[in-house]
Amino acid sequence: MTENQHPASMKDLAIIDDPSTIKILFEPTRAEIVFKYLVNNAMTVKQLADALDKNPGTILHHIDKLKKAGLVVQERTEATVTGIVQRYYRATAREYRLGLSGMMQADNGVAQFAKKRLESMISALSVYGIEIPEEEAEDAIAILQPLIERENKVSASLPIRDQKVYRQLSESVQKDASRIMRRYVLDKDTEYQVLREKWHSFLRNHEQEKQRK
Amino acid sequence: MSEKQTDFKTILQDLKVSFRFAAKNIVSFFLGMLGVLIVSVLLLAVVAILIFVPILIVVFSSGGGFAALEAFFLQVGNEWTTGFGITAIGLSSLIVIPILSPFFVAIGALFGMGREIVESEGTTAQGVFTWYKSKFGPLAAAGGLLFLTVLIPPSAIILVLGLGYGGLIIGLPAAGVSVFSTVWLVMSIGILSMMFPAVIDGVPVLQAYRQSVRMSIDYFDRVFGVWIAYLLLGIALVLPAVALSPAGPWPNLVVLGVYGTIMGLFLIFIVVPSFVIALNRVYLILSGDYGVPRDEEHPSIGMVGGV
Repeated sequence: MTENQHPASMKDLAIIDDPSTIKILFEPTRAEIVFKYLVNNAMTVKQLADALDKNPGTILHHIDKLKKAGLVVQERTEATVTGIVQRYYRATAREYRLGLSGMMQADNGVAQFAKKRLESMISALSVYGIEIPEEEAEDAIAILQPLIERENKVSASLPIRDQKVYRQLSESVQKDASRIMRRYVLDKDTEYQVLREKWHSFLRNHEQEKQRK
Repeated sequence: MSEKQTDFKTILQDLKVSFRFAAKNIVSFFLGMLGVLIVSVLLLAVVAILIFVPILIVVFSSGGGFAALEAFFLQVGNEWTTGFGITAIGLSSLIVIPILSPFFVAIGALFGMGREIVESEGTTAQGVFTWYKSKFGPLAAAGGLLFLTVLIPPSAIILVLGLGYGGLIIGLPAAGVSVFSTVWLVMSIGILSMMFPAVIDGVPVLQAYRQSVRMSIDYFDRVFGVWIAYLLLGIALVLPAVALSPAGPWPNLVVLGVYGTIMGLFLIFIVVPSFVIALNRVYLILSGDYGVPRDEEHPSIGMVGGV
């Protein structure tokens, strides 16, 4: 960042669908830096190093990679009384999701990961009493995938009009306000409504099957 | 912003903090510098082999042996005194810059250590190699740019004057060239002093070059204040050695030896690291954005579901 630039704007939700960015996040420390810490709070290299029990130099290199991938920005600088000049880094979004279409187009490793995750999601519904037979898993994915993508697209396009005030809000207030607004924009989106109805109908059918048994 | 304002006290504070951090990390810096020096010498040998072996093969394959080799270097030397001098500068730079690049990277890697110290008060010796490896290309390019910026204008003037005066520059023109070269050296290093810290910060090389120039203009007093302070400190440390040398007013070889050793160690292990730390610190302060932290609320628990 140059001396005259303001911190980059923050998104409520960002979809990561660039395969090279996804690969960067496959490194566990980087993923932890972003998803466990910097989405919730702005932190310094020293704080991250202490939290992750790593060398500050290692953290600095990870931050460099994450900055280049557009996942992390420096938020503010603070000079302490001891002379340290601390930079606070934060994630560029409050929440991230992996973009399914981008993952499916990536090389085998990432595409496989995405497919397995979808299959696991479908089979996990059994714990809620919804049994989807293995032979219908592909159908379920075919309905669910466009719904997820539409939900991601609509939610991620929710604009934050006052960045300055948004950055000042506490984490819990940001989350609550975001939930209210996401529901609002999704309820207004006709395409999402159609896809959701299709999916709910699929779930109802399998719920009924279960009840009949 | 108050953090970016500069006065004499700020410069003193920059020096004080940087010396304290350098002293605190003396072992890491010493081991890091030693390691990086060994790697650089090895790399230099590899680069030199890659450059000179093809030259030797070409020259010897012409059948002229050592005479042909001597003729080759004489020809390059002659280029300096003829109208093709500018070609000689270009050719020399093409050879010299790759040879020096491992050292440029070594200097840049020290800036990486400095950055770690400024941001977290500590570094490790092995950390220098991570910087050396991960930023090799950008640091080598930054060093090359710095080298060219510092050397090309004085070299070009010497060449032009050399051609005008028939190869020998004496008297007033020689004094003018010396003054210009000294002023240019001080100014250009000062102007580009923020380039290595910017490259370490992940800024692309050309952007880092521009950013350094911009910062040195916008915050001239802070950037040049620190650079000139270290320059004066270096001169102050070297002056007694000059005075004690056989050419000085109080020649004394024994005292010179003792002083020279102490001064040399102090320069290498304290002054150089503290200079690197100071530049990183100034860069971080000047490139920082001083916003206010957000509200923290406890307990941080949500109240809303998908309403």
